[in-house]
Amino acid sequence: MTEISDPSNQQVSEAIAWLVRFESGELSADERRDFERWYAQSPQNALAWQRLGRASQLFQADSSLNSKLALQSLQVADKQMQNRRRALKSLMSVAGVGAGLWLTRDYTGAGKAGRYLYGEVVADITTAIGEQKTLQLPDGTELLLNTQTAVDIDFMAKPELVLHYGELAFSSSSTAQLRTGPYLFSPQLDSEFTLYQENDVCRLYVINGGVMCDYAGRSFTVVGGQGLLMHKGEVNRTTMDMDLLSWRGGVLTANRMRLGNFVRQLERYRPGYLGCADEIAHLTLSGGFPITDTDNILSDICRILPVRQQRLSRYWVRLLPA
Amino acid sequence: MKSNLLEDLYSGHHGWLRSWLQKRLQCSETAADLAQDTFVRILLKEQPPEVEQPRAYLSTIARGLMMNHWRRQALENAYLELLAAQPEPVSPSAEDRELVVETLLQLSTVLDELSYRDRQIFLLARLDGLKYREIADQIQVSINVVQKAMTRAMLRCYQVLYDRDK
Repeated sequence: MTEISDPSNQQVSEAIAWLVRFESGELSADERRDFERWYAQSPQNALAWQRLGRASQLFQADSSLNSKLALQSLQVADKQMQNRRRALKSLMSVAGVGAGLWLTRDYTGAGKAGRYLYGEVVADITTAIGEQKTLQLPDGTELLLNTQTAVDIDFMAKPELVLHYGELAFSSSSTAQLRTGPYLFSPQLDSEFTLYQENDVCRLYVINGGVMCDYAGRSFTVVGGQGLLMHKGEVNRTTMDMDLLSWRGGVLTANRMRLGNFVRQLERYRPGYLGCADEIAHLTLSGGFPITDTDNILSDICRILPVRQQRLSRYWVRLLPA
Repeated sequence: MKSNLLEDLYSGHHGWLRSWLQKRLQCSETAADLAQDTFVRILLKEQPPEVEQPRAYLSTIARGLMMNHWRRQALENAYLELLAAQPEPVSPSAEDRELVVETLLQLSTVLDELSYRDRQIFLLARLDGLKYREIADQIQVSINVVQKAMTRAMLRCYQVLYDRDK
């Protein structure tokens, strides 16, 4: 058997483009024929394709590891390794010869990745998945943190509070300022509001009083009963969805909520993967569910709606039509 | 030829390498393991090395192994801590733990140069088995962003696994 030479960069790129198209699930019959032609065109194409298949299998769903856990583990470990590297670097200036080669290869790559993560793992106060925390700050502010939240608190700084990610409820007899991403929030005295921030989305609901939001040179004043939704630099006023406030009482409420949306909410309180088949996402449900026991909520849903759980482990649950 | 060279390296510098490692690791058992691994690495090389400064050469390899050792340890600690912080703490068997740490180690190599967003997308697709559409909805990006992230991540996977020189 003759050995096939390695695929060229071009061929690998083509193979990846095909894989991504397959996984996007948007392949027509014509495209499929194009793929078959491409695959048969050269043994290197076929080899690149097979290697990608093997590479994909390497990281396939594993019940003890989900994306959240993996991402967090990598972040925390990266941070630790940065310190190690710093320590090792000072050793290396003594060690001298031979160190340079390795240093350039390993140090730059991981160091770069580490920078993206800074701030995400060093917040003052964080909550784990499913955890809620109440904090009484020295100025009388009461802070309630929802699941998966990271906050910095520093009364020597301005703004005094920074929400890195997650959700918090704020009620204050002071006027402590709060920042999340590019948005700065200044509450009036005795205001009560909630703030949610995840990826590009930021949502403010003012329950009592008033909050001023400053962003890119513009100011928005939001009063009790109103909301503000910020998405990729666009700021829009919204009404409040009461179902998105009930977490403050430790309850997830649904008022004719679509199952798909409910599952997305519930997922925040539960480690691992939780999903819902497309066919049942439109079903609606109403009720109040204590969020301390998400397994219980899932059983409840299966009683109320014609759905069942597909359970590979505690960390992998998908709702399917019954 | 090859075995002679290795023998010379071993007899001349094994003791030195071991104490060099021990100074940095503060653990004689790990130092002995990594010293051994260093020579195994050299043994497995196709080309016998031309070594003018054997100790510099040995310490370069040993340093790489030491970083791997630390990375593995950091990943294992992080994983176990996060696991314990879950609302329903679980303690996986030693065997499962080993497998997860191995996966994490591979992931950390593959994801090393990717941005946070790319890492997240790749993990959602592979570990959680989500479809591109589901990922796009979940993290509020366009499907195009997901496709590009997967393209970058798969290229990285390929390079790490198959382009040994890169």
